[in-house]
Amino acid sequence: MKDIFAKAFKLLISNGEPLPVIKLSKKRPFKELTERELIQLESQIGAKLFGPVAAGNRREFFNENPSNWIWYEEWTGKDRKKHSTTTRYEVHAEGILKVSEGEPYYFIDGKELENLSMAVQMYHERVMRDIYKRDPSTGKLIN
Amino acid sequence: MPDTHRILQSEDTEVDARFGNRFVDVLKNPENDIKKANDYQEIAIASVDVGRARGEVDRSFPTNAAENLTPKESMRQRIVHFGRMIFEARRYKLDSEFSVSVVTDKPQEELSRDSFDLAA
Repeated sequence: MKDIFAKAFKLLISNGEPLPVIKLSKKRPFKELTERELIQLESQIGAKLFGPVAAGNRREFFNENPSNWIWYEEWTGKDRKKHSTTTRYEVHAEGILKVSEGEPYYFIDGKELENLSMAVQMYHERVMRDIYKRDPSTGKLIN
Repeated sequence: MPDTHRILQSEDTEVDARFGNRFVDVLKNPENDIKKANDYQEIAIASVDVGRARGEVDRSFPTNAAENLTPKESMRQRIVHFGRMIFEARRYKLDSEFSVSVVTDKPQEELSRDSFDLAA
């Protein structure tokens, strides 16, 4: 199970500490950004799609590659300890497989699939416009 | 390298490059290179490095990747589609400056003499 999420954690967390929020230079946006940094920028948008995150909590939602979407949530429990959960949505021919730590895998359907579909569409629209400066419908540059 | 595509193939040289799902034919004649490249409206590259040669190529986003989704299409298809679009936009951004590897039987010195400048 750990291997499944290794790449996601690598993308999100360095040495166990959250990475600082990336801010783009107005003069040279994206000039030296790595794939990891682009994904982090996307995730900053993805995290806001589902409403505000409570203080002290953390959320990430991003597209890892064409076949995988990652959800990460971190919060402080009543025991005052940090808790986190990572969910990976994998695209398969049979459907969307939900892979969560410590839980059985299953193909999502109904409202859960609908919600993910809507989240992905919102993510696409925001990320294409705000990060890649593309029209989400046509892919053309936005002037 | 599953997402690597051959973009140049001549009698003695093959060049591979990665830029999304697009193919570009680059011939040895610089004038033909540019003409050929400009024939493609959806080229997703900014430059090509071939040996010591370097060419700047007009670029545009692969717009035909944006399919028209209807409400009846499955949610799975929608997730696949948008995931692919995002990934392609990201790869495009990262690949706007990239190098290509040269696979040839020729010695490196001879290859360098054959290098060409696409922007010439």
